[in-house]
Amino acid sequence: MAVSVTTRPSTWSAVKNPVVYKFTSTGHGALTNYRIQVEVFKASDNTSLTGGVTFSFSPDSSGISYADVSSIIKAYLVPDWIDPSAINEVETDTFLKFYIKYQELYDGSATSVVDDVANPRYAVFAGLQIPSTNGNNMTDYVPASATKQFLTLFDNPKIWHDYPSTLSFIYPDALSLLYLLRRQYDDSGSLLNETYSLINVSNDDAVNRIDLLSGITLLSAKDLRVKLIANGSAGSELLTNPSFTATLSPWVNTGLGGTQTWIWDAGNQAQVSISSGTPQSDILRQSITLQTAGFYRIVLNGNQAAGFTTRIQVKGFLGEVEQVIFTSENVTTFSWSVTVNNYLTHASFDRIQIDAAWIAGAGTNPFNITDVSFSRTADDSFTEELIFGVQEPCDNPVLLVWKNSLGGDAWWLFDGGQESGYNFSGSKKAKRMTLFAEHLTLDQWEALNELNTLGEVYQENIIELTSSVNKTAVRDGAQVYVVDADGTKTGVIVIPSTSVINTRDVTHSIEIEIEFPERVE
Amino acid sequence: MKKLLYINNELVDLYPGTVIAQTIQAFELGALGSVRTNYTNQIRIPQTGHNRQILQFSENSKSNTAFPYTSYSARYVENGIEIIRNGRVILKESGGEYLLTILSGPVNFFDFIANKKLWDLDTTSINTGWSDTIRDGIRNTTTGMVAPFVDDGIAVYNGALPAIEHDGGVTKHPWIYYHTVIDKIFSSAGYTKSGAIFSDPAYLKMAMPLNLDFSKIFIDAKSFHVAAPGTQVIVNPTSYTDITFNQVGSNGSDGFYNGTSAYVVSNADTAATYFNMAFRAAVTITVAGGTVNMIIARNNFPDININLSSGTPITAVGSGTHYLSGSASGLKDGDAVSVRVITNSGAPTVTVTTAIFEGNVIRNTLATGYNYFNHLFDDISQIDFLKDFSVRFNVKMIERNGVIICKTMNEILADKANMLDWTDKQIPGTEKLRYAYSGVAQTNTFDYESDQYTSDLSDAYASGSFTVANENLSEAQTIYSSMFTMSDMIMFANRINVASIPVGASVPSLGLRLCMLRQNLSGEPTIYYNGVGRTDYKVAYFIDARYTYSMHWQYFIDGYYADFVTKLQKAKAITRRYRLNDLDIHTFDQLKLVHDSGETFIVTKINNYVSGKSVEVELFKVD
Repeated sequence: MAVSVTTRPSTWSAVKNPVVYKFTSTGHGALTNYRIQVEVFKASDNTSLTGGVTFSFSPDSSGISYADVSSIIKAYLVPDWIDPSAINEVETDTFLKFYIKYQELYDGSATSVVDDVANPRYAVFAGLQIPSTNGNNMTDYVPASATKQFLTLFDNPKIWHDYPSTLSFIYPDALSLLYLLRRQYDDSGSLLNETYSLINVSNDDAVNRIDLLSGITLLSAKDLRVKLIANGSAGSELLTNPSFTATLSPWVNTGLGGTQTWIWDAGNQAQVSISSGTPQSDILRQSITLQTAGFYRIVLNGNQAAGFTTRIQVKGFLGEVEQVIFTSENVTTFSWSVTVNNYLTHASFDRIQIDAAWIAGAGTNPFNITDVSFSRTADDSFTEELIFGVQEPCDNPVLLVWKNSLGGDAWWLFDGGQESGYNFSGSKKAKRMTLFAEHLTLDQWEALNELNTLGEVYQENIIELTSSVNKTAVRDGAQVYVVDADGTKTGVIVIPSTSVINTRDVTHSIEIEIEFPERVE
Repeated sequence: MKKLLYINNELVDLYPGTVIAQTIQAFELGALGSVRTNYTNQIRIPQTGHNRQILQFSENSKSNTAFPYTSYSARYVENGIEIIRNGRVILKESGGEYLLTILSGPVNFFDFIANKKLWDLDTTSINTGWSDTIRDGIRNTTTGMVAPFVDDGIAVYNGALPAIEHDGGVTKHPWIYYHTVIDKIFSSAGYTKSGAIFSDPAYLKMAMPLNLDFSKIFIDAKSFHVAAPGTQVIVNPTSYTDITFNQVGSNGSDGFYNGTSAYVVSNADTAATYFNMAFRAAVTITVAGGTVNMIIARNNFPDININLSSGTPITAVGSGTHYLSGSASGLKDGDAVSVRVITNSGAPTVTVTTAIFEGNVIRNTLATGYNYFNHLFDDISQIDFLKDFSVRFNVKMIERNGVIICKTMNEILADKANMLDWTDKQIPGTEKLRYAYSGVAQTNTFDYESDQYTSDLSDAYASGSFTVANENLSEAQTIYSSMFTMSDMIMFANRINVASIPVGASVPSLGLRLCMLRQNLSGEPTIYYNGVGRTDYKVAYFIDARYTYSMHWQYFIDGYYADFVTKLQKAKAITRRYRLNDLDIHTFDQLKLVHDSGETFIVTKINNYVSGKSVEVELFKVD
């Protein structure tokens, strides 16, 4: 008698589809009341998702048991939208990292609980439409290459001037540093502006929300093209022309292997004495002009006396404005090497500085930097390039944000005109509005149809009326907000309706009826 | 909006417009002694993720949750006012949504004691040993345990003294005050109590005998039966060696048998010697090369042989089946009992082929060191005992913040100063009157079981009654049959009038008896406790013409039902609609009268209260 996990759910699974552990039992045929009990745990704090309650699964005649844990996890996931305050933030409620514990039980059994904590999985507030090439595996949405997708159903989403806009993506663990590359193009296809923004790596291992307008101004552009990129491996893109110059000794160009590499001249090795208790800096300073934006690698090798603790920093300067690019605190090893990968632009810095500072140790520390190199590396695309159409809102704009079936943020601005009135039902009075959208492509019509969902409406529990209360009712499994230009949101209920299109039409239209929070009389 | 339902202190998602209608049941006059529970309509709540977490995924048939099979705390707040507090929620059904009902009132308390017996009470504060010395010490107590004089069949009049000998050590039945049992029911459940009834003289004088037998649950927890694993060889055991019995057939819930060779007592009361045990063993051995001695040994002192068959070990035995038995009194924490073998002569090799070892608590002999008195009760549920209290004194109970408030009907009817005034709240033209109460007959009887012994006291004293002058009621009915049996009275040795329950020596139970205790009188005989003549002791009686307080039902009916019976003579049961608000419901007190336009009522029921709407109220007119 034994049980083993034959298959586990995909690393990233859609929770609205079955999230299945498959068990195989052997030698259990003669056992009475044989079953496998499963308990699901939240990986972040190892708490039971069921308050200690287990679930029982019995094998079929082949000894196979299927434990679908989706309904348990789904109870912890809710669609919501929060105006991000940084380039990327974790969407805490739309995914869950989990694992299980399981145990064989039968009359008279004494088997132990098996802890599967070493195999955590992720569930996303998503449902993949059948037919699905990858089953319940969301691998198409996990950044890794230029074919991977953001969590949107729009082929070409839209973004509106003066209104917020966000985009969701899966940020898996242990990726290289990711950058959000945003390029704006005009009607003729000319690049107006490009921005590389470092994605906050501390938010990895999660579904993230990107603030598309963080740090940039939306120009009078035709489109905004967005993708996630990372620093490629060294030498993957060879530069035939140096895109930066280092004019001062001791930098020399080795020209090795075609890669534009500048190294520290060993003959001009710098040795700086750092006395205890007197932190020093500015031990190396070189002006480097970066003529092309891109990923650059800085490699430092050096040594110091034993018994000292030192801090090494790489700083960039633009004029007198200083920015720390890299810090290695508490370096205690005698011989060390550090590598700094960063995206740099000519607008970023006009010189690079390497600082060392005393932290601990008595006496004089002969601190040597024996080798320094700069190299440019390739840009590796980790997602597709998503092209947003840039729009000016017309009159009477009503901007909706909701969670699509992939668990990502979806936006649409209804403008032009709406029908508005009050609904009286039961003991409540609530404003309703019918929104219209026309000239839709098929994918836009499909995406907007996801506003119509079937969950039950329940009341928002309002204990105290504060500025954070933004709705009086919620539809189970859905959350739709009307968002103002300043990000203020009002929770609304979509009254489901049937929308029909003619597939021979080139463009389509849709009507969406929303109900605002109940009026207090 | 502004409706908040909490289950286990978690806010539940509700449908918009959810209506929670509460029915508040105050009294049901035809069901005396019953405690009425408030309840709501069936509440539908959506199966949101949050609700599924709170209800522990009960909708999933694979879930092993106990949620649908028990109740959980609930409270309901509407417009900031707690309409239901200290409720219990019951999950009735789940499908696409959940169906719940909330019970409230003293339901938490009664939920806690549901299915509990008197032997589940915590009697730690009164537990002690049982001996003539201890009995002497409690011969005249007024609370807790007591050793009253009673004709139990073994009290002896010794004409030579002249006095009555009342010794008997551990075979005399301990008694416990009725009010002590009530106290323990409340305190064991974590509640306190309040009410004038708890200082009522009659209430404080009643006591009941306990058994000499421990309850089955106590005995079962300590019993065991084990067997040897088959062949085991013991070579020349020059010191006492335990025989292994690792085939555990049964081991009581206390788990005292250690699974290998010894019965080891574990008890938090480390100084207590608290039960007596009989041990038996049958061991089949072959012995080659000598002879052995065998014993059932206690602790690590193999010279203490408890083999009753000879008083000494079975000595110099060879091959064959050997039987050992013995008893150990006052077993306590750390005591270990095992079957042992030791070389008697030669250098024997002992081969055990089959063997069994078992032990059972000895009945009928209380331990001199310590007794868990709660285990000496009969099989009586705590709820039945409380019902006896409630019926006997016509007491109504409500619960407020962990306090069970008890009032007699006499108190309720007399308390005009604290009436609720609903004069302006009545909706005119909604009144209906009924002139009889279901559950009340022209003659209403309360009774005990009749005494089985030859009786000097008529069985008529086993019952009492009140009448209602209403020809339209059914003629007669028994309203309540007590669990207790009436007791005979006897003029013992022509010297003292006392309750007679002459069961004789060592009979485990005096039966379910309830007596009044009185102080002995001057001139009544000296009674010997522990060999010392005593002139201050308690005397058990059922009825005694010299005393006001009596166990006769009529005493309780006349004392605690008279005012109420007067109101029943021309009963008017009225149904009206009132405009009650949330605050009225929040502050409603079933133990207070209601005044309305020159009339006074007891509220018997508030039907389906919904915030903001008028509600139907059932009333019983008292003035």
